[in-house]
Amino acid sequence: MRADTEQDILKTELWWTALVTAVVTAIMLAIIYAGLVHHINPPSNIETVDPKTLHLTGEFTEGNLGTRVDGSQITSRIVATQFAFQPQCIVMPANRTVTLRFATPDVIHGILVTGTNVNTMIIPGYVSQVHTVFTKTGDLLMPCHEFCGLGHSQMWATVRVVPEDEFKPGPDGRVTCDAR
Amino acid sequence: MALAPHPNYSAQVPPRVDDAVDDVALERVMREVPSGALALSLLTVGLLLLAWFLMYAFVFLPRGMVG
Amino acid sequence: MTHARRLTLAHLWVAFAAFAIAAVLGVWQMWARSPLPAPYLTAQAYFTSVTAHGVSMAYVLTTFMVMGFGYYVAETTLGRPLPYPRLAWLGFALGILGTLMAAATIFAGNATVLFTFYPPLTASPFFYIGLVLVVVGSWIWCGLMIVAMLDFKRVNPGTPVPLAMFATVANAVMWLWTTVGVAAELLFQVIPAAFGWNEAIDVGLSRTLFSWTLHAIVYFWLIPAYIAFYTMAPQAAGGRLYSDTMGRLTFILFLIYSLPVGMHHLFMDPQQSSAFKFLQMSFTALVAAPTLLTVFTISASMEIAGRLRGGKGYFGWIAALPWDRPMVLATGMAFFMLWFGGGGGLINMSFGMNAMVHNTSWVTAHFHLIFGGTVVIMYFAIAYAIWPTLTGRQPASLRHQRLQLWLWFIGMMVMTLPWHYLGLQGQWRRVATFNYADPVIAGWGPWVIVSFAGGIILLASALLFVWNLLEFHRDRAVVAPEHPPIYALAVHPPNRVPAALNGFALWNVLVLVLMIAAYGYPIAQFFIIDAPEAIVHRVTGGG
Repeated sequence: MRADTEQDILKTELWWTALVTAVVTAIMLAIIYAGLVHHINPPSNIETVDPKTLHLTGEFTEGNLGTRVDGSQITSRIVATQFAFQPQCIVMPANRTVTLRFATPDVIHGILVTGTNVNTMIIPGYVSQVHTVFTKTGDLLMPCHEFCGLGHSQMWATVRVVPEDEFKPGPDGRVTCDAR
Repeated sequence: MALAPHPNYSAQVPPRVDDAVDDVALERVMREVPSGALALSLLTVGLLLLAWFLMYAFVFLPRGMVG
Repeated sequence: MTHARRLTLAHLWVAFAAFAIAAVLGVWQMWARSPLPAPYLTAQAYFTSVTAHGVSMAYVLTTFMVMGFGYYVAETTLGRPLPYPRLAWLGFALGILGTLMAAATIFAGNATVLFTFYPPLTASPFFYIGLVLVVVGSWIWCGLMIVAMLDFKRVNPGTPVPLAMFATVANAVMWLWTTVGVAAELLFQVIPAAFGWNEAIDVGLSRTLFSWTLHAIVYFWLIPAYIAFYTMAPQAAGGRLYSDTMGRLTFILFLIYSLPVGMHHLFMDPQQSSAFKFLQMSFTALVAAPTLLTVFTISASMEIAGRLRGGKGYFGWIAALPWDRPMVLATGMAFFMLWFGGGGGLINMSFGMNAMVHNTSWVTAHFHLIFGGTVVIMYFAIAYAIWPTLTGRQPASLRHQRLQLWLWFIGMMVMTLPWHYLGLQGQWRRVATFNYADPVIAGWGPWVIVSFAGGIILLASALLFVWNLLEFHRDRAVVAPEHPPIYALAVHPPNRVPAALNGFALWNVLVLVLMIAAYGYPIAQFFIIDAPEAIVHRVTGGG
């Protein structure tokens, strides 16, 4: 490699740039592969819901919260409020595709489920939706991970993942932690 | 706006202060530069890419689908 | 002491005073989160402390450092007096006034909203007005930097703007673009809500506007460190900058690609589509380029120094570098921490992969390593390099400076490596206390204590840093006879450079185009879909 002029140096730098581009491209391809083949994508459903009437009408009224089986669909609806989740515990079957739907009537919250890729912000005005498959059984921790006020540190819920054959919905299609 | 040069500085701009580098010595080392930098950068960026793919394959993908 | 030197000293002392206070708070916060019983711990105290720590470190330390160092660079590289010094002092005064206003509201318990202040939680309006004043002060700085460069070009037609100044102006231009997002959020949404003029707020819009600022702001903090890499470290090591052109290109790339990427902070948000998240991730991948180019260019510059000092072979030049010089030592440590911090950042920006780490301690570890590590250690090195010329005194002890840098480096690694691990285990951010009775959380305890030990080392380093600077101002400090040049020459110093590498007119057009592509629809959608608004929750009154 010559360095007699700035042009010579820029030629060397250009080779390095090509290599850097290759590295970044490899990472981008792996990300696209994870998205398309493994279906790991950010939660991005842009579905609005009015935080002022959330608990009065529609999907997120109190009687409709928690896990519910509807045909082949298993959905859990959770409301995040200052400073608790409703319900505090949800039941999910292992190795089945499930849907988690979150909404909040007050401020920004967020959740993750420890040891999984389940992670979403919960923004007032929107429904956050995550599809996933839980593979490990047991009680997983689902804390609120965005500062939502002074009680934030005490805000968490439990995701109880049970073997598929122990996941038995009642006649109304609902499964709760208490029933078990 | 003051366009006159500051009294503390010469009008010669930019202030080209010569450093202690000897031109002959510089020319000599420039025959080897940047082989070492290339070795170091390749090594560190290679390790970086490796670390990323290890995280990707052994932590991220096993945690399962979401979306 | 000329005018700009007093100006620089004033800015940097404010920056480092805020830094020292924030370092104390940071250690206490880690104590609070650990299984060890911490004094004074209440939720109110904790979140007051987190807010003060974030505001001091991210807004006060950085803004005053960037401004003070910018004035120094303008004066020392252009060889001309600073234009409008009175305006510079006005900017300083606005920054001080804003900082005091924000501090008063925080410590009165009326602004426990953390430094990201996500609505609909809202603080006292004077908290936001304080922050706005700091930003307005920095806008004055931006204007002065641009005017200083234009004056120089008018008087010296055809002469390249010195690289350090070119980079400083790149930062000023970038900062003007960067602050548009948060300024719009504060002026149109948050401040009216904080005053009680609005009872509801569009949170999706406010988060999107904040994200506009949220990534480029970290490059605003970082560019002084990169200026030191390119223009000071090669000189300190006894070498030359490998390529002046690559330096210019790097700072131009930062200007262009640090802006249309902020949405990678919103990957886990429900109000933006996958398409725009993916677009902004692609731009984010491009902003990795200037950093990876810098790794090579600075390695090559240091290699020149190492070989001039007799280093041989592929790696022998590294051992031959003068590691006893604080600037060289800090540069090595900064790049070491950049490997971990940048690697973590690559994972954060990786679209779906962000779900693995979003809002966990991993993210806290990432930005403490990159900002607190790579950037702040270079702030120390810059201070050590310029304090002799600011005060006319010699450093009391290079050993103490090296010790301080080592403590910072070790403390930062000891603190953040456990945080990365805990983040992967699911330890979430921004909580005052953990329930260590929970079997999952109990296993985290020992690692939290290790990171707390790292924090104590960092505090020791922070205090030693302030001590080292104070030494320059004591009567017993030795007067320096003359100052060696601190800026490096390039291997091939530029005689003339193309206009595109000597100014920013063209690049501003490109930024505009990219910002319209990246943020046009994501912002416009909130007016199209008529998003429901959230009810404002005021924290004013300590509750």
